[in-house]
Amino acid sequence: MIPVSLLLMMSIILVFIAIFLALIPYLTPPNIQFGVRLQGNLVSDDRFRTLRRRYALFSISISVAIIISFLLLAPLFPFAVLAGWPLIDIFILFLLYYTFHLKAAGIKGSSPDVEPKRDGAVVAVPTAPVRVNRAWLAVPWLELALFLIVGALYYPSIPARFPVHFSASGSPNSFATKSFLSVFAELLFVGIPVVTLLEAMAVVSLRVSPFQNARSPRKTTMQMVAFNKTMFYLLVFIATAVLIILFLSSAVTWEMVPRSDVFLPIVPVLVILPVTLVVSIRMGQAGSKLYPNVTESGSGITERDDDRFWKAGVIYYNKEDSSLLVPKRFGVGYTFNFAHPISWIALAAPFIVLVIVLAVVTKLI
Amino acid sequence: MEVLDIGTTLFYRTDTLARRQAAEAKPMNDGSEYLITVDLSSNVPIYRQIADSIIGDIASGKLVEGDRLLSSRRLSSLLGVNYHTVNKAYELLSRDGFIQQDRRKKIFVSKLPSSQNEELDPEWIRRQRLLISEAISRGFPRSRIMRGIESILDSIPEGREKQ
Repeated sequence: MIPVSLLLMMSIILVFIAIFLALIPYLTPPNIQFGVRLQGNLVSDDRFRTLRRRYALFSISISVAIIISFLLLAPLFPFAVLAGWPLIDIFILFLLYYTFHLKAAGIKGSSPDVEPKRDGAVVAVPTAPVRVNRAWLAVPWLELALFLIVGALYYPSIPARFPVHFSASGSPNSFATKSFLSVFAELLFVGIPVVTLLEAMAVVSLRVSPFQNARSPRKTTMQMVAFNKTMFYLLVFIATAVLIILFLSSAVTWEMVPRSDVFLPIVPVLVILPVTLVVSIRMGQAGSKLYPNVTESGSGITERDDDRFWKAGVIYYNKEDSSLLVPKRFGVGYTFNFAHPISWIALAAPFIVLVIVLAVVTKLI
Repeated sequence: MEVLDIGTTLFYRTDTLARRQAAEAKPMNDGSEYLITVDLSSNVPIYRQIADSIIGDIASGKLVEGDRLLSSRRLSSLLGVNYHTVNKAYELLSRDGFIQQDRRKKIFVSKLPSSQNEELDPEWIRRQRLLISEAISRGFPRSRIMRGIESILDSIPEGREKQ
């Protein structure tokens, strides 16, 4: 039997994801729609307004169906539903996105250029580098040290054999023998790599270039600078929240908190999601909602069409581009340039760490 | 006096809105921006266009002595052009003394001499002569050429010229 608290928390998470996904076309810049670059008058074409509305409606309906079926089926087949539903959710909603991506590309393909285009680029380059307070990068590490100290102080009270894994119903189904490594496995082997990765991302994100927009280069740059700065602080915030999750889940295994609170570690997710949602809605992807009052006179140049570098509008592969991270075309945040070798290393890193952790943990148990 | 006070209260909302808009228009980054324009339909090579944009930004005062320029790698990703193209533009600018590299390979706008008392650069005179000869051979009268030069000087906003 799945506890009601878990069902409730999972549904809240699914609701946030549903709202976020339905809003994405409204958050991306007007010249990037469903992973397609719009040029010239196509940006203000009414057909894309219709497309956005229809996507939002479809997306919300699908999500509602998924959440309802989740609530109905989870008590019957807890394992299959808890593991499978998020995957099914992602798969169906990707298919929905892809349908609309093809529609947007179709509209673009069938609309001839009204005026002769002068391809090129107009960019505004900031004279000062983006400044953030890098002292915040220390916060997650101090937090980690604090949690380790708390754990060390509590160490004598941890039972010699303690539970490390719980079933969906909240009862333990795997145990470990008490040792320094087994007690701190989660904080050390998951916490350190995750914080390192998030902070590396935060630092690299400060240098990400905006989407090209020759119509308003200055505004685009101002938006991207503000967006990158906010993402820096958001990523550090997420790192601190992830550490709290890891600490709480360790505290459950240490039997520091009562067994009935076994789902306590999910609570910080309920803070991360609304914060991320509010920040995303207020800024828009690449800061597209910021500085709405800045206007610029055009130079007559149109930014080049770079759709061929975006497979399905979501996967970026451009050998000519030396940047590692670029803003996502559909979503809020960054994605890798998969032509950059480091992107593959960064993707593989969590798996390598996971394999090592599993190897260490299984040896301990 | 009282009427005025009522006015301030009444328009308080609009006032805060205006202030918020003014705050929004102010860039969040600490410096200003300089523009670089690349036109692929033009016959001028891209590296020349990049160099010309930067010279234009120095003339208009958007770039001043000591300002740091982006590395070729980052500027190339910003512009969507090849890295070697930006490198070539920087080489050109560095040869002409507009920019220089420090030991850590950072690129800065050079200290530019104020050339009031100096002789004009012979290369500059050669290029100027070429452009003026071109205009004369197309039959433009002297007065028209002079006006042309003056309107160009006027179109460059207060920058180095006024310093």
